Amino acid sequence: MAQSGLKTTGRIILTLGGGYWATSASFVLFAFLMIACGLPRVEATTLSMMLAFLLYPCLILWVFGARRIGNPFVVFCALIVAGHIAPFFFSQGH
Amino acid sequence: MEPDFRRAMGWLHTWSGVVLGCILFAIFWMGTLSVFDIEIDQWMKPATRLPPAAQALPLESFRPSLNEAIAARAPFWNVELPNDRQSVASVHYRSKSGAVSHDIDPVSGHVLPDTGTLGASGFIFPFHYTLHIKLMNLGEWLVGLASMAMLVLCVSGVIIHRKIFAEFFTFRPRKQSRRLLLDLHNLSGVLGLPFHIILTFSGLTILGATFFPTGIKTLYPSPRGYFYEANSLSFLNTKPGQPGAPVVSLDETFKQANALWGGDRPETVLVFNPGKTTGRIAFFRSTEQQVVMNRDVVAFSSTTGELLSHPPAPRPIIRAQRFLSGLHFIHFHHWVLRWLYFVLGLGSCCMIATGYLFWQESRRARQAGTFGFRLVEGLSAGSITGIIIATLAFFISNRLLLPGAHILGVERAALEVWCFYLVWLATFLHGWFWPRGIWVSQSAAISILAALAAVLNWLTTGDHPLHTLSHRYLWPVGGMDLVLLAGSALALLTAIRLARRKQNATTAPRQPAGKTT
Repeated sequence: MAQSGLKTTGRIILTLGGGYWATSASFVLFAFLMIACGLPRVEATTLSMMLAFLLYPCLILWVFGARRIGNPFVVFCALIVAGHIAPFFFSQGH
Repeated sequence: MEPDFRRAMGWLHTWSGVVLGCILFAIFWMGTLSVFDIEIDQWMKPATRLPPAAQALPLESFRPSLNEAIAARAPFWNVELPNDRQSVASVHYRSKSGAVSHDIDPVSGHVLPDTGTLGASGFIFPFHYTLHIKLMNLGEWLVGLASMAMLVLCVSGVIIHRKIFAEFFTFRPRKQSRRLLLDLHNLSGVLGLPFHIILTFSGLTILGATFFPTGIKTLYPSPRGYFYEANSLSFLNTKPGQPGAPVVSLDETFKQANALWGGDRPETVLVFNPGKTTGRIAFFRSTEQQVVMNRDVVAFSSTTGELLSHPPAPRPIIRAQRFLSGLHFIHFHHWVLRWLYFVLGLGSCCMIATGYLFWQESRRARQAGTFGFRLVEGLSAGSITGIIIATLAFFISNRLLLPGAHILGVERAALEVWCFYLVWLATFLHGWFWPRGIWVSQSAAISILAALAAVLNWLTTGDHPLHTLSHRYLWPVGGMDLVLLAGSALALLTAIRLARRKQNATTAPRQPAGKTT
């Protein structure tokens, strides 16, 4: 990859930090959505956990494959915000 | 596909592989050995090499051990009953001074003499998923990171290949070592691709709750609540309770569970909070005939013997998750499949090792003297041949240390572990300070140590391969000896070929991989 070290470092930090955080947030978001659709809590949690392990590698590949990291960055931020707001909207949380 | 994208994926594949390859090799190596954890245990604990009992012991014969656990105020006590992989029973509980476990003679019910070893199930298996780094669960997180990298490596590896079908049939052992390494890497990678992906993914789902703690905390009041609900263990959700309560007869209680199951045997009997008013007795139904780890658990109150819970059949998603766990844990009993797991696991190890060595071979001409190259060279030696040598040192120390050995206040079981780590460290130092001819010398070391381990087993226990292979119950021991001897021969062959190749190539020394058991 003909790139400066700074950009590569940026991508690595974005995958390890942002990618993980976004995955964790999507995990919560999707679980709440499934609970709202009527799935029992334990099944919703397990399903979104399994899907999270598929989502995270996709996000990693996206960050490294994208020409510019602006797009992944914006989407990650949106997912993180949505995942942290979700618990306030769904009453099924404890 | 855009050339830029493929180049980016190539970069990602190369560097995530180089950085996490050493951890990945350790995980896959220990995981491959864990396929035969109970068999290795039998090799390491000669006292447990017993023929199976004709009749199962009554559960009440484990009462003395249960009483010890009650006296030690243990939070739980359990007994794993004999099955066709293991003819002895074993009891476990946790006292104030740590975990206690004993093997029980399947005929007399007496406690067998303790060999003083962690064995494969106490050292090799936990190494596979914790790396034995307990600080802040750092080991589990490293394993998670490496597993995630493995998934990324599998996908990016497929993307950077143009002719994936042709690689099924491409192996050119007579070509130059760089070409040979890449062929071997592609061959093991492509043939084993479903195995690499499924085992990595199922491993991640097993530890899923550990890797997303904030998510679980948002959805559940406590991570334990999720764990209990997902594993049908909600009956464990009790208060500590008062001590001094009796534990009802295990056999009488089991009759009820047996009626619910239609005559099946349990694989494990658990007494939770033994001797407390809130105690529980739980019977875990054996799952050796199926892949899904069903967790058909029947739970009773341990003070009254009253039936508390018998979970309904799991719903589809939970069942899917348990199927993935079952695929990974291999608790089902099937010899052909078990060997297939072992061989495929070795294939994964081979893929990781050849990937590492290919990186070095393609840079050796230009960068051989640089610090980064030397660093990776030492790392790869220590993490590929080094961990194999260290494992063999662990087996050899197990046969050489006297029972009850103590050095500087360190107990026998810990001494074996020290042997493992010291030898492992030495192989890294060897790789960093004397890289010349490292693969030849370490392959030769593997060859000698593997043969030595098999011979020591004969000398210290009298169980030589002819004897072990003629008795069905000693097959695990004989099998391990044969694998050690086969590995020794393979390593010797590798060492000889490497040395010869080195002699022929006087201009630039090239050294391919030493693939061993």
